Amino acid sequence: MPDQTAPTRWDAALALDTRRVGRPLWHYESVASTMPLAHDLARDGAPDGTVILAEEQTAGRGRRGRAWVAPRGGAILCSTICRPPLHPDGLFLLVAAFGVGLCWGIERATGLRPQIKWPNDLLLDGRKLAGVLCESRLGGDGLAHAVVGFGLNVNLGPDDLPAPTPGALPPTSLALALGAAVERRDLLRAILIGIDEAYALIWEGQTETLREEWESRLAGRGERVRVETDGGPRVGEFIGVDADGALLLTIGGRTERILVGDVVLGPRRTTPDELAEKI
Amino acid sequence: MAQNGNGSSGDGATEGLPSGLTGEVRALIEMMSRGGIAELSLQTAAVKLRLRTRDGMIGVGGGTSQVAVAAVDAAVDAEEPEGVIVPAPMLGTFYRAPGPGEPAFVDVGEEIAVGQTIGIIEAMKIMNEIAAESSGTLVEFLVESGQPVEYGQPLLRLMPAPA
Repeated sequence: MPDQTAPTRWDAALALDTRRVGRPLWHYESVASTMPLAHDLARDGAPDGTVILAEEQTAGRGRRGRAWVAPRGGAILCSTICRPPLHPDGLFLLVAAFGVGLCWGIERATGLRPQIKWPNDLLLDGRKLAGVLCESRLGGDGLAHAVVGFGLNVNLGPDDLPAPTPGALPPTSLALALGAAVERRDLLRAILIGIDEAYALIWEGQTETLREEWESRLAGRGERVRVETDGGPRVGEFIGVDADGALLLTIGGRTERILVGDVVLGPRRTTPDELAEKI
Repeated sequence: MAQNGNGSSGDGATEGLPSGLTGEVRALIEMMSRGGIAELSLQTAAVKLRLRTRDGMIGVGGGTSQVAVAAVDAAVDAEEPEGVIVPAPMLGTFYRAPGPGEPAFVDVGEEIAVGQTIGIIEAMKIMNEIAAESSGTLVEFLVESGQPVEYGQPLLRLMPAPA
């Protein structure tokens, strides 16, 4: 990566007293993307909880290679190397830990109360505040390591945010919601502590506590939502998640379990199913 | 997985089948008998099987496996493909490439090394890279990119290099 700058170690400067997350914390001015860098370090044996933080990503990416654009200094962009005691099928708990930990940190630092869009992203007032991305590497013995990355919109103004695309949630930032800029170092510290606490629940075997906390923060729970699935849209009451993290949707008195899908919140079109119900 | 044993159940219809299969084949024949099914094909990564009645009708008399077996001409084509199967380590959607429009991690005919990424399984928005547990030449993919896979489902077949 020719555009990668040399890192400096930040955990001491932040006075981080976490158990795992951010020990160490490597800060880069510029990297292509924190995700492949974190995978490389994980393969070289970097410890559980190592965080790669970048001021700027020149080739940031989201799920399935989607571009993630953020102007320099306006967001918190980082990836964390995790080696949790989880079977691959339980990795949703890792995503849950990062969602819950981000919520805790943001609440403590700003007073704002974000929600989680099942299963991973953070919302504020129905707008996308942060994207969370989890990638794991599986071998013969199960999980070799996982990397969880997130991009949190902090001090981005209306002109810095990407234009809303059809079908996607409109973006927002903490500064927009608060009407004032946020001190990023204090916020970063609060977030890493929050994630460390939530991640510790996995290590301490308190996964049900974590799952319940995650479920309580899911946007649209208890409401009628549409879920876009490979088999078409499903509309029903979002009653919660099961022990495997699957979304539970009650449709016409029957509960469906959804493992892959996009929850659509807010104004929406009437589906043929709904029309049929009304008729 | 099919075995290459020479065991035989002793009855005519299933004679010569791999020993581990005979019970399952009898169960299939019985199912055909009960359901009045004239022809049944089954293919997995390990075995390919075709069962067909002799005249399109199955005797349903006693309903036991013996009766059903006697009534069926088990045109069986059982085989065990050579090589090593790489199974899905979890449930999800299998992808051959890291993203749409990007080159596949590996292609048929390519030499695969231990630990090399052979694909991704996505579940709950988590992208899980699947690493090869053994080395060899990639013979074939057994699932399509974008296809849902179950735990343990064969993903691809490798041919190990001769010792």
